[in-house]
Amino acid sequence: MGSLFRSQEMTLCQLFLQSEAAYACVSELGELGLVQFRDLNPDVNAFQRKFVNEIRRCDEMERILRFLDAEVRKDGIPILETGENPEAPQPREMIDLEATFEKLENEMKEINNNSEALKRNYLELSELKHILRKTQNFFDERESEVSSDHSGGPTDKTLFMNDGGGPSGASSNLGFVAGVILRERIPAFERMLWRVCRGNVFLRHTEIEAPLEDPHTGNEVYKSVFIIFFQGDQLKNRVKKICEAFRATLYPCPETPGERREMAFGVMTRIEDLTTVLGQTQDHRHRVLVAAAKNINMWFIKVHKIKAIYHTLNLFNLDVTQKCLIGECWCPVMDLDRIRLALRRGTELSGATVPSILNRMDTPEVPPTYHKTNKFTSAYQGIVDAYGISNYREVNPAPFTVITFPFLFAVMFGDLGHGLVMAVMAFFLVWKEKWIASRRIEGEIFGTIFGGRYIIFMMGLFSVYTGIIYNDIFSKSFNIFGPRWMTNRTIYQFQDHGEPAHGTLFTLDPVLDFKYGQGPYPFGLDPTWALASNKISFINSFKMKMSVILGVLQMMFGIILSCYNHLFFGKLINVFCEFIPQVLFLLCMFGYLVVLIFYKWVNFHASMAGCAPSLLIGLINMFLFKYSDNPKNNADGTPCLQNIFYDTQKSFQSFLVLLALFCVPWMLCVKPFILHRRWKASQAALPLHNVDENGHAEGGKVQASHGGGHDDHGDGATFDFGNIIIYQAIHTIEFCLGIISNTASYLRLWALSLAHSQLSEVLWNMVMKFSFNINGWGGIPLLFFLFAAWSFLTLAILVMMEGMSAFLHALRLHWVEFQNKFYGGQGYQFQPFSFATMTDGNKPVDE
Amino acid sequence: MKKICGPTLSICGIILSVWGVIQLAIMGAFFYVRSVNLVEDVPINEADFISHPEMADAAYKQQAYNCWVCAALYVLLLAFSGHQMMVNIRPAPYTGM
Repeated sequence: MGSLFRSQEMTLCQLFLQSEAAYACVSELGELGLVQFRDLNPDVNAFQRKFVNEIRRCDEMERILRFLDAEVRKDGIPILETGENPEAPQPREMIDLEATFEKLENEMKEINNNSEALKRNYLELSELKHILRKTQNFFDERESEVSSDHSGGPTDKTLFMNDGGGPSGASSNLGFVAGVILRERIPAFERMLWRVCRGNVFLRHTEIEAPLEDPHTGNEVYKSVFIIFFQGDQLKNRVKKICEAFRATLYPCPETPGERREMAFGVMTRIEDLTTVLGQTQDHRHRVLVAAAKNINMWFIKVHKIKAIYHTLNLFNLDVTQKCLIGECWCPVMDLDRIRLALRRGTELSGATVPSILNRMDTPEVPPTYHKTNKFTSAYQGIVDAYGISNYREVNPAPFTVITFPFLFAVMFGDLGHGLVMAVMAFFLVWKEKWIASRRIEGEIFGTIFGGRYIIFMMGLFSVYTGIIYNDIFSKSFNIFGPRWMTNRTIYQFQDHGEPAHGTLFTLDPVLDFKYGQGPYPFGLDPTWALASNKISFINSFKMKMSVILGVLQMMFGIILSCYNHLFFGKLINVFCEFIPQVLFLLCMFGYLVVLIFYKWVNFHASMAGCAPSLLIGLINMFLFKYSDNPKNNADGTPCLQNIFYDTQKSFQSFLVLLALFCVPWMLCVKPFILHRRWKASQAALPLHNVDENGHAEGGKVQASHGGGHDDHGDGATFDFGNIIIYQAIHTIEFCLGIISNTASYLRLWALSLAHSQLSEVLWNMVMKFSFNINGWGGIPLLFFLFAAWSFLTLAILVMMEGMSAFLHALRLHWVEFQNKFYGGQGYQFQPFSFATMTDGNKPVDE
Repeated sequence: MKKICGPTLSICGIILSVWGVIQLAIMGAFFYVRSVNLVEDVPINEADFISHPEMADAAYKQQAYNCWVCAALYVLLLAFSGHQMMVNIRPAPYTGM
């Protein structure tokens, strides 16, 4: 595996493939995933490229596959996810695939059509069955009405008046139509009939209880049976037209009950036959779909691969003799052998005689940046790349980020309990990663968390470590080694006289109440501090100093990495003009502060606590060149070292300040001056000789641009003085002001860890503490529910919200404060032609 | 084999109960050995603490028992959630047509 420290060395290669071997070779390269092809026909329209027909065929195959997939999902058949990766099929196999797909599609379409026709038939027959049953009632009613009508007299004849003046009162002339209509349409239907036929028709309707299946959509609808009685032809036509308009289906209904019974029997037998046929059709359809479902994933992958290969082949150029395809690609130098092997395999598979040729080319273009990562480091590389892809062959911050990022996170998160919860959850994700990945759970948030599972696991482990150091587990502390504070004085010794008032606070004296014999608490904070009310004052001082130390260390490391970059690209001028003054500037100011912090921690005993120097005020006075004398000696004769605590302090500190100030013009002026001198020297020498002051890097000319054009002027006719000066000024000011602001920025390590510990304490005191209020067995249900509430809030607020917050701030510290010391970040990513990355996101999604 | 909770609720139940069992068992142990760090949580005021130390001991022990009983309750919750998880994970068989 290549190193992660710098990006891989890349080279531009020319590829000569024989036309017969081209497909197989590109297929092998796709499986390998190590080359990035360049488009040699950028001006050509998509429809004018060479392989547009094949791509069209692939599109057609994909369409059929999507149709089959939809049918399979509609039936609820589970699709097999074997996870196997079939190879791209040969071009001749493509024809077989196309034939298979077409056959399947035709079969499915036929089955669907037949099934629809059968269902329509079934619907008609069942509607007829309902009609025959329901109209029995209507006719019975009508019989009774007619008989009552005869006895009623002519007044009832108005019901049966018609326009054309046919035989009046003759009920035997009554015509009727029977049919079925959607239930929702009945009121409008009725009203329309009343208006159009001027109340001369008689409508009866009843509901069909069971819902019927609409053959085309498959939905279930509720319908009603209706029967309309009318007299005469005109009314009959009008009624028929209205029925058509409302899409009611009319059925021929025989008049006599005998005929109706016969018809009913016929209909029942036909319905039974139809049900059997429908059942068999559905079975057949299901069998076809199950057989298709077994292969559907493999087919998707195969078709995608074919399409990808043809898209890639479209990027090639066809040579004059029409026998050979020429392509250009970027590939890593380390893997050239594997690529050649793959090409040879492809040529053998296709049976071509002429071997494929891979030719290295020199080019002034900047190659893409390629980092070889594994599943652990790829997440870290991802968060570094999110800010900017590294320049070609510059130092990659990712390998250092693997440790420093979780560490800075943990400094801000610092709780053993929360860290443990985070670590256990991430460990579960890591342990079961294959199973979870195979389930292909949708959802961006879950995808993000799962993708970062290694980072989260490391964050959790480091948080456990800092939790032990801060001695904080869910806002309580652990007493492992025995506290070093003791209560061996009575309350009378704390005060001068009298009984102490109830509830007063006592101050343990660090000289009298501390066990000096055993040394300090060996690892982490003394657990006594958890019960002290001035815990925060103590911790603040400690954490602030720790943040400054960590910040200076990380920034120093960043500056050292920039030196590596300068040396690699051969820019020794930068080592002299940028690296050394930067180091001196940082060390003179904040390096000295760090040294003083350690000195004060080590050298000043608790008995001297009243006389210890204030570092911050001392630093400010150092810059103002303000020095005052120490106060008078202590009661026991020892000197009070409050302002000056070592002999040559005044002169040494003045020297440091002057050195730091001197670095500023050093950074500002020396480099432009030297560049100007070099340019003049090159102009004085052979004027045609292009002296590139970049020096030579390995393999072709490489330019690591720092965002300005300041490296390009060596070969120009004029020396762009203004540009260089401005660039240098910006760079210098940015660095100098940045040193101060960035160091202060690291104080967020203190701020967030304080916030976290306080939130944790508040949550315990406000939620969990109440569950211990009841001094008896009644506390059990209280504890049960309050614990659930407390743990839910801990997860939501402290682990998730604070975790995200600490993640963000740690990331910012890396991106800005660490990386602006050395990182360029203007490169472009290497995107190889690889089947693995393509088929992942190409499954059809349930929309 | 009735499905009462969906898959998400079952997972939440499992995580909560595992955490509860472990933490309550450990907390119960700490209450039992009268750890100083938990002194502010025990329901006894300062005056009684000084004058009747055996009351403090009793209070500590009571809280310890409470914690352990709750841990047992969370074991039951774990069993329930685990069972629901099994019901949810098994895919429903295809019933035809």
